[in-house]
Amino acid sequence: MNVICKGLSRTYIYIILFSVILFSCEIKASSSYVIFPYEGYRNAANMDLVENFSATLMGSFVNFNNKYNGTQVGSVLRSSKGNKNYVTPMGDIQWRAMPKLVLGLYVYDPMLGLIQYKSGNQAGTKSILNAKSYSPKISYQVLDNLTLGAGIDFMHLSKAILAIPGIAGGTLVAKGDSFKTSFNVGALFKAQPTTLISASFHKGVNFKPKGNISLNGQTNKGYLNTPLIPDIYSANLTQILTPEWLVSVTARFLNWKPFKTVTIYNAPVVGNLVLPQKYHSAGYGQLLTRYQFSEQ
Amino acid sequence: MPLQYRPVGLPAAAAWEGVVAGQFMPTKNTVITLTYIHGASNAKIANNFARGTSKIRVNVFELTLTYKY
Repeated sequence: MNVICKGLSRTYIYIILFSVILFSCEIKASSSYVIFPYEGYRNAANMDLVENFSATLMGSFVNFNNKYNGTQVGSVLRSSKGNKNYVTPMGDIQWRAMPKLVLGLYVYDPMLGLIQYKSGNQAGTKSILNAKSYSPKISYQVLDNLTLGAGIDFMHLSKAILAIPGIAGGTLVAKGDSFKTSFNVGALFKAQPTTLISASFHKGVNFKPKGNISLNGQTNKGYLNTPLIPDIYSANLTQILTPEWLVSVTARFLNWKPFKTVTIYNAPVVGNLVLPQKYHSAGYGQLLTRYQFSEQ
Repeated sequence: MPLQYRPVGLPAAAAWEGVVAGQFMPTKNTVITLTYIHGASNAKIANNFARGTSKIRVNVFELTLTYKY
């Protein structure tokens, strides 16, 4: 955080972080995927920590490995593996337009679903669910030690592919695009110059990509209703212990409960297909410490 | 780079992740950050068309350039 960096003037900084799931977050549904909650950018209120202007570019190089072992209902034992590399960019701009007002734009991937089986009896099938979010945001310092923020998320699920094996003796493949809007709000409380408390909420998104649905050699125009991004609640406490040493604790809650089914409309052979899901919400804890090894 | 620089969230039966990062400030206004994230999850699958386990391992390298004043 910039306010912290100010105190450290020149920053050769090392960050070490370890985080674990806190409690049951079992997801009795299809395969998992990855969500990128970059809290420092996604909590709009944190923009109050910028001095005048900041611009950030990031490239993420993701190696995604997936392994499935289990049974297909009414079918034979299945075991499949996948391995895929993926590159995703991110950008963030923050500008202090007025002493208490900061404007920003955050462009990022809110999630990434990437499963491509190269071996096993699902070899050749792949699912790619990758969304881009374009998020203008604003923060305003309402009190000396309290800043509120908000943002709008314009989300585009582009060229999504979802493969579901075991449907009518074949693998159903749905391809399509979806555009949704969402929102986020946040708050930043400076309890002490060395103690920061922040919280944020991001509304989840239920994408409905429209496109082609194929099964057993037939293709229909259709769409599917699939849960992708849950409601995300975050709270953070950051404490500067010494000028060199900082500790941060984050708790995060992902609410999957609103999502009940994956529904595929107008699929070949089977028509409308409703797949009941049993998602369980996730608790998430994170402990971070940072130490400045060098003055420069 | 903001401190709450964060990780890969893995909805699953059990998951963890570790992150190591280094920051370098070549000039007064420029910050370069290199981060490595390893995430792992084991999920049970039990729906109306499949039952089994899904294991996901994610390795992420991130290179970030920040300009600020």
